[in-house]
Amino acid sequence: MPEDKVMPVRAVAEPTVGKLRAEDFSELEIPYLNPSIRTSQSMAWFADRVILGTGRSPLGFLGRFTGQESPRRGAHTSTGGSDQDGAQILSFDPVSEVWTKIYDSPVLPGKDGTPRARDRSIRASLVCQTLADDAPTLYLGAGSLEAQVTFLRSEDGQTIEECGGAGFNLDADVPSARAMACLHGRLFCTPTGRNYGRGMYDDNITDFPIVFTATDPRSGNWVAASEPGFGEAENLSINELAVFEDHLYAATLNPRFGFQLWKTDARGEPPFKWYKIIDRGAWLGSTNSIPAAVKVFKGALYVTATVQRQGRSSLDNYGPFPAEMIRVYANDDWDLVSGTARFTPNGVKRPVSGLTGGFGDRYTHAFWRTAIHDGDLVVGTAGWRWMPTYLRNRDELSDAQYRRLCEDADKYRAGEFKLWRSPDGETWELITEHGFPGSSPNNYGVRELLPTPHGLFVAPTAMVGAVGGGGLELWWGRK
Amino acid sequence: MVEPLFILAPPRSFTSISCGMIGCHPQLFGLAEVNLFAVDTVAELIDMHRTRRRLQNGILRSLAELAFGEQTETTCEAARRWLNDNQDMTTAELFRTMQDWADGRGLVDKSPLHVYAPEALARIAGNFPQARFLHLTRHPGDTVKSILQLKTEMREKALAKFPALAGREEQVDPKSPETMWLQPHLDIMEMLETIPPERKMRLRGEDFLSDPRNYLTQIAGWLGIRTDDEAIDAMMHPEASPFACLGPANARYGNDPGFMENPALRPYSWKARPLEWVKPDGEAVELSETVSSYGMILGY
Repeated sequence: MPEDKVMPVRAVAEPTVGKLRAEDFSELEIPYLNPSIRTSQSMAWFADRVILGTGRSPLGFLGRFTGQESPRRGAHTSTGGSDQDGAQILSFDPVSEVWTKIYDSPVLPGKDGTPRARDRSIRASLVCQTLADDAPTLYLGAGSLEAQVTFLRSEDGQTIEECGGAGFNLDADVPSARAMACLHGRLFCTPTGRNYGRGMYDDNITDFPIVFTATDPRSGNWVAASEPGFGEAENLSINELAVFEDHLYAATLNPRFGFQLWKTDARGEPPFKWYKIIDRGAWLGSTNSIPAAVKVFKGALYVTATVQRQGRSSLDNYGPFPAEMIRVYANDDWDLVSGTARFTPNGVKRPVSGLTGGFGDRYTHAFWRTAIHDGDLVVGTAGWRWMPTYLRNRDELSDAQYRRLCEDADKYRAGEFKLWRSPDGETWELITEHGFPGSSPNNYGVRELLPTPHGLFVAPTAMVGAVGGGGLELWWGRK
Repeated sequence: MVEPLFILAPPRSFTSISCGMIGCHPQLFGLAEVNLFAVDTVAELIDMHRTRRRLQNGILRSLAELAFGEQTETTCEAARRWLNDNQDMTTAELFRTMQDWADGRGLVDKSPLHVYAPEALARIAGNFPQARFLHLTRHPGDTVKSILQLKTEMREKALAKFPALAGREEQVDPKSPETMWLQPHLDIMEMLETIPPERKMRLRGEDFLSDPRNYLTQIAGWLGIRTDDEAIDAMMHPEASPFACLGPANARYGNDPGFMENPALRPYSWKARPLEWVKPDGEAVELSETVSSYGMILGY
């Protein structure tokens, strides 16, 4: 009997009783936000509070016009806002339901002398007790609009201090931090972006695709924990970090051949010895070029991947290619959770969920964020339809194929994103298929998920800030 | 009965050796290039053979082998007569008949004409809903180079035979990667959109040949047939295929000439290389944005 005939199809449609449903989410009113804020790229649970890092819309200088040029639907085309609106950090106490603003980007003279917010977005945050810390400490990476990344720290969740040194201890254009991890008293972090030369177009890549580490981030003593790109020129960024079974894992952005997953025990002195356990986008190729999220869940490391979308070039103009999810075990064996069945050097891989990419929806572009809440792995998605770059210049397709793509594109519902949940990585059910009731039509994906003892917080991301008709929303799900 | 397997790929994409290997599994029968589904009926097939005589070799050899267990001038002639007597048969019925003659073995087809005609692919998908499809790929530059090389060799042979053809060389089409590599893959991918996931797989030929035992075991598992050492050992010997050599005088060809000349599996390794193609004059040309993108989509 062909093996697939015994392959279970475990997807279920009905929500499990007692678990979160879409109607259990309510939108929190967020005070203090400046009108340019449109997203949260990092949230943390620290000192019994939600720490909400925020980010502003792109500015219209330095070539940062991506948002204005996207052929999106149903959105304002101007990103708007003031140059002096920068990243902010707020804290929220779920017991008293009180918000506190704990950080505002300083406003400094820009390169052209104009007063301008220094920080664009709080792009990374993590609670870590380094060798230099007396207690678990919150570390954050504040992405800069014109200068190097600034690392911030907080010991109490109420006050923020800047770490010393310049960014990653480099004399270079490294504006932002992307991923953080904590192991053996070390904070690990990876850089991203470049303010000059590429602008936002290549905001996901870096000239320094290196894992950096510091035992005392406050002093800014960052050193390289890996060689650039793990020795492979096609690795353009280290997008995700995770600690699993006493090892550090790093997933690379590799647009040419597909993402890679590397691993080290991080013992001894840096740089550490790493070895590769996943190559070529889990052997799917370039359509799995960018790792989107990593999460340890019930004995495996879950890694999601997709194709990079910047709206201007390369595979973004093809597709749609649905997001994939794999899970890796401590012995380096791995399963395909959702994706295209394939032959690999490690044997044939069929999705253990019985679901092709995007949990069966080819228009699910990214399993963007993952979190563990109430014993489940929760996944927030982004779609393809909001920015249908795949409809441009598709002369290579047959008329029938192109017509089908157009018909599918018309099924776009403004503001859509999905939230999925699974108790085991194999059975998946929807929490919501089309965002939350009343959420903004400017939303196009789930950018942050934060599980807390008081419920699950969900931050969709919007195309534009409030001044452009969008703005950051925070949804609180609780039973 | 094991359901048929169709290997879909442009020519010079390792299809002959792949079909040779897979078809040597004890529960499978790898066909010569029968090209049945390029047309609807046997009458049309015979008509096609009138103008392209070499194309009849594969079906005659396959019929002779299946019906008589050997390919001789006599059995191939008998096969030709049998085809003439059954002109009202559809090509799908002919394929089913061959399946019956295969004694429960699944037929493996890799006919090159099928991938140059979307209607041929549609005929296969429509008539064989339980069939499986292996989408085999090769680097676009390598594929084009290999096709052009074969064309050159055939041209040289023709010139040796007909010197008057000298000076009438065909110019290399700058769109060769589009016509020779991209279009067949696009047609294959469009057809495969209609096929359920469990009945289709894609494989880089370079990976296959670099680690054949590993991938043959996976392919056998996917097809639901034996994966024991004896079965896989048999697959490691494509030279044992009845179509791994020239046929009798009245049906000499029907398979890739290079494969028939040197059919045994040889050590193979491949390293990723730029998305470019090399013209016969040695000039390396970057592939177009579309071909490069599909090259990347297919793993190159």
